[in-house]
Parts: sequence; C-alpha cells; structure tokens
Amino acid sequence: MTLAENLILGLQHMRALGPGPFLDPAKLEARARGLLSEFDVRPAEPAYRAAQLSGGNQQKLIAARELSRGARAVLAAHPTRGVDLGAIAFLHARLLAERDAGRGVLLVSSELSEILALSDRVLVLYEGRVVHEARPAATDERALGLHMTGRGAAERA
Amino acid sequence: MSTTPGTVVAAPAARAAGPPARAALLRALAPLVAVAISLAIGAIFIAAIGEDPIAIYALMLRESLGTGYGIGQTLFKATPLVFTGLAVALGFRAGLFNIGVEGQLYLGGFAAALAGLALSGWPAPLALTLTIAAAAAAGAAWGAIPGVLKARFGAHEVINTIMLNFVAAALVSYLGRPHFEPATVRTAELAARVHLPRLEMLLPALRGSPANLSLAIALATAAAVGALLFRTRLGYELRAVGLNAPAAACGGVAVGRVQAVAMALSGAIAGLGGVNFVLGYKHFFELGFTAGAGFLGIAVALIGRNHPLGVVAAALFFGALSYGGLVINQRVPKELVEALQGIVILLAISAHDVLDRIARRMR
Repeated sequence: MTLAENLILGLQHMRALGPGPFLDPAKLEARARGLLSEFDVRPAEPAYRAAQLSGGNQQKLIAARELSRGARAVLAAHPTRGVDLGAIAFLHARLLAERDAGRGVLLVSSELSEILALSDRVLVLYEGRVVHEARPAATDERALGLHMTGRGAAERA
Repeated sequence: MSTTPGTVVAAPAARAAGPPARAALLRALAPLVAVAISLAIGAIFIAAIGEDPIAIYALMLRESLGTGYGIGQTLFKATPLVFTGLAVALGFRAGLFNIGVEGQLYLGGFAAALAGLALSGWPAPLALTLTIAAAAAAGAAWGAIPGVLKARFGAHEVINTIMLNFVAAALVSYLGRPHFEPATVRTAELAARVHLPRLEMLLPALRGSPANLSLAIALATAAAVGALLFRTRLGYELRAVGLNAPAAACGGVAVGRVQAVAMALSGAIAGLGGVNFVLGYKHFFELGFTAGAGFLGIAVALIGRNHPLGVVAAALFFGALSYGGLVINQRVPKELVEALQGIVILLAISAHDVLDRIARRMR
C-alpha cells in the first residue's frame, strides 16, 4: 500500500474520502500530502510505501495516521523508539497537544525521562498490578525504578 | 564548509527519489525474465530430442500469433485463464489461497448448462443474462463455503478448497446424470438464444476459431476487479486483510467477513469462466470440460503478479503456449509444453525473489 492508502486505515468508511462504495485516489493523496508535511514525514511522497521510509519516519507516519483519526483516547506505546531527537520533540509536543485538546493519553514507555517530562500522573505496574502512583514533580527516575522492581514499598519502610 | 540542517536532510531524500522507481521496474520485469529463461531451458529440451529449438519456437509463434485463426485460438485458450487467474489473484490479494478455482469453474459451467436448458423458452436477452448469472452464482456459492469456514472457524482454505474440488466433481457427476444424453457424459445442446456469439462475426480475420464473446466478459471482469481492488472501500479492506490481518483488524476491518466475501467473489469469477466452453464453444456441458484451467489459473495469477493487467497478459501468454503446444505436437511431445509451463511458474516465483533482493540492495 502507498503512504496515502496507509494513512486512511481505520477511516476507510469515511464519507469524505469518496462517493458511495468508492475511494477517490485524489482525495487520499490530498489528505496524505497534508498529514505528511504536518508530521514532517520524509520523503513526503504519498506514492511511496511505508517500507521505503526509515524507522523514525515510519513512527511519524503511524503517529500521523493514529492522531488524525479523531479518537477520544490515545494509547501511545513507545512512541519515540528509534526516532531522532528533532522528531522526539515533535512527537512529545503532539502528545501534549492531544492532552490539551481534552483527549485521554495513556503513554507507555521504557524511557523514564519521557514519562516524567510528559505525564500528569505516573502509574507503575509490577507483576500485572499497579504498585505505585505519583505526580512527576513528586518522584524521580530512581524511585520509579525501584517500584518497577517491586521493591519500592520495602525501600520506603 | 556549510552543513546546514537543510542540506543534511535533503541529501537522503534526493537519493531516495531514484531507486524506488528503478526497483519497481526491476520487480515488474521478473515475469519477463522468468519467461525468457524458461524458453531457453525449453530449447535445451527440444535440442535434446533432436529437433531445432528455433524452428520449433518459430512454428509455435507463427501458428499461435501469426494468423487470424491462430490468434483466435490463442484468445479462446486464454479466455478461461483470464477468469481463473483473476479468481486466484483476488484471493491472493485478501491473503487467501483459493486452490478450489477448478471446482468453482466446473460448477459454474454446469450451472450455466442447467440454466440454459431450463430457460430455453425465455426471451433471449433475459435467458442469456440469467444463464451467465447462474454460472457466477454457482461459483460464488462454492467459493463461499471455504470462505465462511475460514471466517467462522479458522479452517484453512487451502485444505478445504482442494477437497471441494473433488466434491464438486462428484456432485456434478451425480446431479448431471439425469440431464446427460443417452450413453454420453454431456448434456443436450442449448438453445441458440443462450449461445455467446463468436468473435469472427465481428472480426472476420478470426474466422474458424472458437474465440467468442466470453473474452469481452473476461476483460470486463478484469476491469471490474481492478476497480474493486484499487478504487473501492471493500477492495481497500480486502488488500489490508491480505497484507496484514491484525493491523486491518485494528483499523476496524471485519477480517472474517472480508475473507468470506473475497472467497465468494473469487468463486463467482471462477464460475463465470465456465461460460467460455458451455455458452461460447460447445453449447453443452461435458464432464471434465475444465481440463485443468482452474489450476493453471494459479500460475496465471503468480506470473501476473496478482494484478488484473498482469493476469490478462499472463493468460494470453499461457493461451499462446497452450495452442502453440498443440501445433508442434507432431514434432515434439506435448509434455514439452507442460514442462515449459512448470518451468515458467518455478522461475517466476524465484526470479521475483532474486530481483527483489537486487532491488533492495540498490536502495
């Protein structure tokens, strides 16, 4: 599939994309041009295939696709893995913008600095259960790391 | 030395602009490379039995494409392969391997004959339309069975479609018996109003060849499949399922429903292929009329890269090979053409992978 087609996954029944049972390639392409430039996917060519993009650009492509769907909640799992620094800052800003627009964002990441920088609330899971909740301002990477090993409570005691 | 951010990022983008086009071209060439190598290997076989390969190939080419009659024969042989190739290709696009095209084609031809016999008193356009529709409907029903089994129970369509080929053959033998002419394995002749006219009526150059209006139906079907796959919401979902079913499911595609619909459509196209023999050529149904056209459709789809245009081209190639094989029958064994077909298929699959690897390296 082309990037233009890839970008409508989940929206394939949207009225605006074509009359009746049809999809209008021109509308797909126009939509793709807008999203590719907005999310700075390079090269911004709707006719390319996702496999031809670098890993970071693939991540931005997915972000563009999922954040453009107008969902009320976003589950972002490792959204910046393999992404270069400039794109990381961009994706972080987009996720915060989602939050500011009133949408729920559940961020899952192995980058604790990312979690501390973006989150309003941090929850730590250990063996399938929430073992810790904190405000980013009231915790740090060391404390979170301890809770992740299940030893946070013991350490405090 | 100026290393502005602009130049740094512009460089890879510029480099990326060329290769994908060249790589795509290389991939598209794979079938042609496969055909060329196959003909070379075939030449070794021909030489090994003491014939002149060039003379034999020239004879094949001259007889299958050099005369109006030969072209007509090639078109006639290619017609069912367009249908069966499209049927297999549509399945492949949805990630389904429909090996049951042979049985769906067989039932389609049988249903066309029964409908043609039953509707012989109806007004001509209506009778012909319904007879053609019966062929598609029978194929669709037979394709829908493994489709629904896959969607509902996850039963593998490869096993089920293979098995249903045997069931179709047995079913037709059983249901057909009361309709067969005494001491034959064929039905009575259909009324002229449900015949598909021969192309020689429009194109006198094809005089004597059995090519008929089924070819037009085949080409229209190819166009319809292309439009379905690349211009509709259903086609989009179908391709999404074929490329990555879990991702399609995340995108809200009802994977099972799409698979069942794809199999029914694939079967409908296969069944439609039955009209070439039954309505366009013999004007009756005969046991075993498919003669492997369904299985050859798998090869046609593979060589045609599951694209309607490629399928039409591949069907024409196999049609020419098939008729050319009949022509050279007296000088080389007919197994040669079968061997050639096999080699083309093998090489088409491997050439694709080899050229794909080269294309990747070019990036």
